[in-house]
Amino acid sequence: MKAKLAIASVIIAAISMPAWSDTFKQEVPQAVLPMHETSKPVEFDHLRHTQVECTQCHHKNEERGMSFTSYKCASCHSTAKKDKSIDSSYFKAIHGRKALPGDLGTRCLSCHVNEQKTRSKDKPSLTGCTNSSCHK
Amino acid sequence: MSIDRRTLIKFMGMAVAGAPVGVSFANSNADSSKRKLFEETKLGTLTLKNRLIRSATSQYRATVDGDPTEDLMRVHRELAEGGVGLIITGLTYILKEDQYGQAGTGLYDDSQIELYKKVVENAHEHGSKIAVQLAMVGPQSDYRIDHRDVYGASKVPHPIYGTVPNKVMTKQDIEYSLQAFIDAAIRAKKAGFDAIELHFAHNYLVSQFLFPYYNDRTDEYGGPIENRARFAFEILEAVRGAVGPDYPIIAKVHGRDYLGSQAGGNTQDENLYVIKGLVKRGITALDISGGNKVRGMGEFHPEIQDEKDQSYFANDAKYISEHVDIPMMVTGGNRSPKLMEEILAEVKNVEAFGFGRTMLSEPNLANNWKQDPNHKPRCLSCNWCIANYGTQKSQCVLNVSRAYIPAGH
Repeated sequence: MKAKLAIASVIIAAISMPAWSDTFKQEVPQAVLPMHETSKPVEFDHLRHTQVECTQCHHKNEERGMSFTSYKCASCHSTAKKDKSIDSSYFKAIHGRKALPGDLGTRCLSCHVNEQKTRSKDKPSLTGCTNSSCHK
Repeated sequence: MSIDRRTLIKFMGMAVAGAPVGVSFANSNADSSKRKLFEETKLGTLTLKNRLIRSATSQYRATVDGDPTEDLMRVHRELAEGGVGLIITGLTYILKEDQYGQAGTGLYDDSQIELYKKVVENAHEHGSKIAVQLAMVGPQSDYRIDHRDVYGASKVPHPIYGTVPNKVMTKQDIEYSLQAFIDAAIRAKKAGFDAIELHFAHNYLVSQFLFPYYNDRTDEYGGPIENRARFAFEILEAVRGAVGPDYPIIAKVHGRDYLGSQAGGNTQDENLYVIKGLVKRGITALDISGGNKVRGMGEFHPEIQDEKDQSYFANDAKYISEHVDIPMMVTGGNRSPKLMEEILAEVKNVEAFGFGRTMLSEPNLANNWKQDPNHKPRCLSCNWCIANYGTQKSQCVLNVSRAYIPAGH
């Protein structure tokens, strides 16, 4: 009986492993990191965003799997002034208040706006341009 | 909720050791002639306990004089205890005026031999062999360039640092640098290093002589590849003469430049010419890398989560293996034991694999893979370490403490 159970557990393990393989625990940086490509980088704290799925920022692009070129958002999202109003610009990816069709990830402000609704007024705003939790 | 594989197995009441085929890679193939990652191998007279090598990764943990520190030895200890077969130190300068960074390692004076003896003992005591990487950097640095001699093949601005050599090397300078290589090699041997790696890649000075992009000389060191390779050949001849015929010398070279000969790179055949010349002059083994600095940091590919994007210089190693018979290690994007053992099966001269970013993130990667060949390395090739390379002690963003303040901010 024990042998049968052992064989069964091996089979179950073998079947279930590939399905689990994509859900390995993903470690996140503990340090507060600067978001590059801005003159005064906004600090991003991974530990304050643990409720957000990693793929919302490290999203899958068209050709590859999950992107981890964290310091290179700007290699796809243009930081040029002339592109500021384009939906895919770096500025809009962060400051867009609404999700748009075809978005690969969540625009930062679209989530911040919702969070701000229930946030204590004593805390720095999640949506302000100055003296906010982003632009200090 | 996410869960790691080890927790899952524990949860199901299964010991890893008891897990059957599929989990244990080493047991997954019945063909006993197949070469394994975890078995003894040789690079010439250098015997390694396994095929995993920490490739040269500058730690920026030396003193301003280039002397090794306890912090550097701690890094080596973690790697050695983590199961790696060989540690190749970070780039080590051989002339004080060629110092590439405030905290880079240097071996330019006999007084340093005693200090490096401790580095060697430290690695040996904790289970790993250790080699020193000797190099000349030239303009591939912006460290104190107004206060020192910056040697160069020609007055070509560096594409990343913008540094223009202030001392285009004369024949006399070349002879001076050959002597520096000889002296450093003798110091390395006296310190007890198991091997020397000569860095002829990645657009450091010798690599710049090889690249037409950086080399517009009209003397016997410029023009056709026979001339551009002369400096590298002379260095090897000098070092080999100094350390004797049996001492292991590895050369870090390019399989391909990924630049194109029209844009100032070498053709694959020109790189092969260099390699054949090194073999002829008694190199022990090759460390195959590639890329160039003209189009960015070419050797550090990002986005290599998919196996098809990994071990990205292995095909170049295969090409070389088909033309010369010399032991090789291949460095660059090695992330999967399964893929590496496939490479071992396919490319006869590949004997070992080098790891840079991966072991910066996870010094005990070798042990982790030994326990579980399906273990996924922590390194995600985000290149944060590379983006901050040289501006701080080298480290992985996943190992950085919460109190850390990023460089430059």
